Amino acid sequence: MSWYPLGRVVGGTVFPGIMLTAGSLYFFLKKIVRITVNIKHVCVFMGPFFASNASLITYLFTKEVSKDYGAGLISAVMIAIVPGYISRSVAGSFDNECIAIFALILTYYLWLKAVNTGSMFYAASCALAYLYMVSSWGGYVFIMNLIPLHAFVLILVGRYSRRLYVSYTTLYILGTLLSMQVPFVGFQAVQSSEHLAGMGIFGLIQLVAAVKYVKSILGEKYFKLFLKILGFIAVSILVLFVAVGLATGYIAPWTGRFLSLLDPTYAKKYIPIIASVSEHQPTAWSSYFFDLQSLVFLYPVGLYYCFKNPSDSKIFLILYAVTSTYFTGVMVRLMLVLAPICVILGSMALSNMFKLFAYKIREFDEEDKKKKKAQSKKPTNQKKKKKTEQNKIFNLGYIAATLMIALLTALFISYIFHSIWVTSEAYSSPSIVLAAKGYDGNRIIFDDFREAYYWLRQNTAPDAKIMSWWDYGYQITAMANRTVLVDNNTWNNTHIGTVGKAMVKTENISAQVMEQHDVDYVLVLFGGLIGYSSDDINKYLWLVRIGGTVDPSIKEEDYLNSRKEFRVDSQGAPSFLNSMMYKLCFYRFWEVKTEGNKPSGYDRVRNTVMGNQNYELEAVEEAFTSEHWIVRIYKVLKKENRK
Amino acid sequence: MSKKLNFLESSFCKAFRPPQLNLRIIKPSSMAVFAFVLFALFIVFAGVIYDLIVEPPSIGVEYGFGNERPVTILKGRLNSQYIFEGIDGALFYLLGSIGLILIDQALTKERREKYGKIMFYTGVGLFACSFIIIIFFIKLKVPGYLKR
Repeated sequence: MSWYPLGRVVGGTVFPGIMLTAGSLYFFLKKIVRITVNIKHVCVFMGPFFASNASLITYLFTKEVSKDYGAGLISAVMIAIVPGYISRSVAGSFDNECIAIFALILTYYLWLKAVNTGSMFYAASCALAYLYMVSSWGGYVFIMNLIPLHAFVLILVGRYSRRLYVSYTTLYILGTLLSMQVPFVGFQAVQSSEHLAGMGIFGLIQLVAAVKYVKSILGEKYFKLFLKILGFIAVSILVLFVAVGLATGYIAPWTGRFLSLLDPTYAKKYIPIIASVSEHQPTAWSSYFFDLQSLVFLYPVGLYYCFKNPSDSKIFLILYAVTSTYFTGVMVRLMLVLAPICVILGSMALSNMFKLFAYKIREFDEEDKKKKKAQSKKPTNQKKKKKTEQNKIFNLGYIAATLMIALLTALFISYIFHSIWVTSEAYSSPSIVLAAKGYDGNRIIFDDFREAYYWLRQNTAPDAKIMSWWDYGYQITAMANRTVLVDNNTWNNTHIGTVGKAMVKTENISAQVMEQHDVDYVLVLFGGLIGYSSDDINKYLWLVRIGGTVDPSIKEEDYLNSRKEFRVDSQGAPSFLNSMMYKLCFYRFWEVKTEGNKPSGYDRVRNTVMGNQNYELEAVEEAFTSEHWIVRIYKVLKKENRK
Repeated sequence: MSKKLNFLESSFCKAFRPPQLNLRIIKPSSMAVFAFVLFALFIVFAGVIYDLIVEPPSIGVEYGFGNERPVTILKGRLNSQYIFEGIDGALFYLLGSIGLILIDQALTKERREKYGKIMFYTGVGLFACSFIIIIFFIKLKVPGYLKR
């Protein structure tokens, strides 16, 4: 069980898409195809399976937009290995994003097909794909705002047509009705501010269609009067609607996660729990090259080609590109949404450049043949040198064109090498078993996590409750099979704040909080012995900030010393050196010699000697410390019956 | 019928008189919008949002032999930067793309031959140099880039 003692309604707080997909794949394989597989294998390999489906859909998408088979093929190859997408779809990564990106590209492909052909069939299929997307990932809000934005921009630019009207109306009605079937979304689809754009553009497009119809019936003079009256009524109704909706609170304002995308500094000030996740950090320049390599150069070139010959679908690509680049700048996790559009635009650019040089070579061949024919027929020499400078297209030499094709191929090959290196070094390591290179080059394995979780599984009562920081909740629930207080699904921020408060206050207050929540064991991570830098002491300030949202007496400056530094040695802040987390992490560490020339109790992550030594624990007693002191488990002592 | 409509029109116009606005609808050319989009891309690639939130120093400092030396690139960590370093990286990204755009412009539009040649070779040079410089920067940031 998780979120003790509150529990959670799993049906109403979880996106069911990925579970349903895994279940139906398993059912299909077992009952229809009659191959015996373990459900675990189905889940492990779902990431790569849907990534390959995404590759196929990207081929169709690029071919639809650019009408160029070559660009489609290049885009299929590139999205198969682009590191930004591979990082979330490796085998073993069973998360919402596995199927979400496939559903995203499928929805956009069907939308562009609908806009280009004006057929209700494609619009209805787009609504079904949108339902699949809504059931998989919270990022469906991106679709529900990008498609209305596209419709709006097409109206603005003057590309309104009957096809747009048919596709958008069908998609909006069917899509909203279908998305309300997912229990997590429910009536939010018509109430929350994140979905208002779709509704607004729906009203606007009805208005535009009605005005165009009336214009075709009325004469010029009466049409102007009609327009004035209609405009006045429409604006006043809209203002009334929005004002009443906002005033009565029926329309909910933007929720925290999405507001932090529009105002990046919002999360840092008000919602530290969202700001603390390392995936939610903003992106630095090098992450773009690391995740996209050549595409970061080819992407503006693809945009250039879209601006050069605009069409309905290319305007959509431009909007998708600009909005997703901005969102990627805010959160590095959203590089996943930028990767497909970068691949599509980059492959269009690469294909166009290949074509330029290939045509030059073909022209040379044809000119050569013409010259040979002309020379064989007429031996007379009639060379007229024209010295006047005419405007003509730069005539690239045969050798130069071949060289350029070779260079572009080399660029493509370097992309492949880079992607393979990045995947193998950065995105393929399991995070539950750590490995490091020893002094003589051989590999040392740190298996402390599994050791500690199996100790919990085998040596504690089955109904024991574990308090730890929320990063380890899922692992404890799955491997140790015990109830936890908070886990990785961050939807009850006050409960997480209470756990943070219990960790950063002194032992007495912490013991009270633990007794209120019926905690039996406390689990902390400590990396000082081996130099593991993702331990709980490095996350300490986040615990302070999140605990501060629940208890206003917890302030960050209390835990920094007089020079505003976060120190672990004797120069650290006294409230930090006496806090529960410090005492739990560093208990008996003063007896350990970590490096030869340093005193005992030397912390190899912070590179200082520990400050507060030789203390006793009163509320807890040490139950288990793993081999390399990474995971430490303490048993909470029950108070005596009588004093 | 027309009398009633005239009456409606005159009464409406008397009741609600909008002000006389001499508005022109501005239609920028597509290349102007593209230039604006490139500028916005430059801002985002430079990690300006990272700078706003994390507030890193503009240039790093290296201490040695009693003096301080400025250091442009933050070595060792991938998703962190100094402010100048971000602008440097985004500049080279954009220069590489502009090089490729120059190649395309040289080969598809009719112009005098001299200018066609200059544009083509400048474009190739820009793209090649930007690519190599970016790889050099990344080797500073990520130790062991492209090594097993």
